[in-house]
Amino acid sequence: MTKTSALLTTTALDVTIGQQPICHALELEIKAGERWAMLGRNGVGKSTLLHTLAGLRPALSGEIALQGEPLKQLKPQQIAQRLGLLFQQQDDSFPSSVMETTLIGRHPYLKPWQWESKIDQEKALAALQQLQLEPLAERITTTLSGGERQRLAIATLLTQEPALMLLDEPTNHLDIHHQIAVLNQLQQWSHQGERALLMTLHDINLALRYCDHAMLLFGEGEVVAGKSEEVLTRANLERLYLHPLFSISGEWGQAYLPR
Amino acid sequence: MASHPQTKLILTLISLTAAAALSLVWSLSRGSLPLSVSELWQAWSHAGPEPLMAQQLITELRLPRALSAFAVGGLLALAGALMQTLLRNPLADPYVLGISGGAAVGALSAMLLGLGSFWLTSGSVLGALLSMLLVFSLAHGSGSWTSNRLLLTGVVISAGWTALISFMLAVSADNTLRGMLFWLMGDFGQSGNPTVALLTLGIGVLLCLPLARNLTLLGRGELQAQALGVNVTRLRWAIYFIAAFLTAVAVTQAGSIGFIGLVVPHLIRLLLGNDQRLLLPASVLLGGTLLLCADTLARTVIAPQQLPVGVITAMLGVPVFLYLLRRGNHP
Repeated sequence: MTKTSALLTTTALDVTIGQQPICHALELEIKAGERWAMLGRNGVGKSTLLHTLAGLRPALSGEIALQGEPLKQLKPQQIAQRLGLLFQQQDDSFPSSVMETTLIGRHPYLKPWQWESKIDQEKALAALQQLQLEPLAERITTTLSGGERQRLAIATLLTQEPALMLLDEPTNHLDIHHQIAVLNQLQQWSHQGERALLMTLHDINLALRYCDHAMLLFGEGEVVAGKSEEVLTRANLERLYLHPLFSISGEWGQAYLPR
Repeated sequence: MASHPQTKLILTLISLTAAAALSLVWSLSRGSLPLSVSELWQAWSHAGPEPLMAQQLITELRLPRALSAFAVGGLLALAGALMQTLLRNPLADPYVLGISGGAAVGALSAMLLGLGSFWLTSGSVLGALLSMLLVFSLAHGSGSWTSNRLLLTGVVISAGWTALISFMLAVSADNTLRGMLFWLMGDFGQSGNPTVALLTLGIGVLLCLPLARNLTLLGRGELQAQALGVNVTRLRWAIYFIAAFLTAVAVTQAGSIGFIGLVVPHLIRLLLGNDQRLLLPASVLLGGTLLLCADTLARTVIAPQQLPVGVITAMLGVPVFLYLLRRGNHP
């Protein structure tokens, strides 16, 4: 285990919301090239855990390290250069265009007086192209559909160029075609260089198809994490969702359906 | 391509600066003794031992008043833009957190006690500072800090000041009442030296411009801003104190002039979007220009009588704003 290959490590991490524990003594290591799925019932604390890992809220105890350095010792700007977070919802109290929104991804790299350079513009444009949003570049974000906004948020994250992406339900609001298109993009992205991603998903089968690792949040602080084929078993998933499942398999792979 | 933000900034600043210069010339030429542009130039470049009457009129009366109107307009517009971002509420204005209420109570107390203009100024400064610290400490309270909590604290403190103001108006004698009402509506009749206001405006702009990109991000939500590397807690307190000081200086200079702080940032946003690097400097220039024009009208439309400038800002601002809102344009 070298320091460079571990993008995110947690040591004895305890996270709670109020009195409710989300994870207890969590030891997690996300290495370059890995794609992690985070699964769990509604309200079990997936978003809270993601926000904690991104340094947006304090953990109860334990350590989080980003590329070997403790998160607490990094400035917000340094964190934002290494780690990008996709939120479940985007806020637009004030109007802005699609292009302007994509360009905020360059913020961590700019000095206070600096303006976005031509290179920054090109990066933003390339990200918009990847998500088929280029024709909408001049549109105001409030006029976009839910799915278009979600793709815009992912384009912004690509423009940010972090080494590690934490994504809160990246398939939210997307139709089947765009779900697969976006996850293909993210998979490709994770193959380029020292990169990894962790995403919360509600679709077990997308997790099976796109993620080589998984962590299951059972509530009461219990977390099971490991390789997908070891963790995403029918027994585990039935206990996770408190719902019986069918397992079907073919030459295309394996899938679970709710009974 | 004109939509490149830097090009847009330069074009906007050039046209707004030109508008400000024109309105300054117009304002200096208007009044009980109208002056033509050539007379203005003569008075300006005159260097004899005996000052011309026009020269005295300009340097001692019209120019200081015009400059303080411009400075106060700029201060209010900048403070308004900051408050709207801080509270992430497009309805916020510089007065929403009770600073003008505190200043008004201070100033009116001085008038009620029959004290001189030094005490009137000191009273309004003290009132503004008191209100600022009161809202700060109450909203800070026990840890968690949200825009809503700050907004509600400010609104409630404001309401308290309003009650005190009504009380003072009710118990004051008729001869002081007119002065009090003018003060409350905003007036440049006794505004005095513009130096402090202009300096504050300059410093405020210099402090805010490097924060502009952070402010644009804060407008997209606190978590989003933080996730992109903004130190949100520090930024919020910085802009709270900057906005509060700007407002305190503006209110002390000319009373609580309404409308500029609410509407100018909106006008700019409707025309240019919410990039704060454009919004902040453009708001300062437009706010200054609008208030300068409004004050010139206030002292000339029913001359020799003067109107409180707040009446003019609202009368002109309401229809213009409604028109732009209906057009609902953003390119």
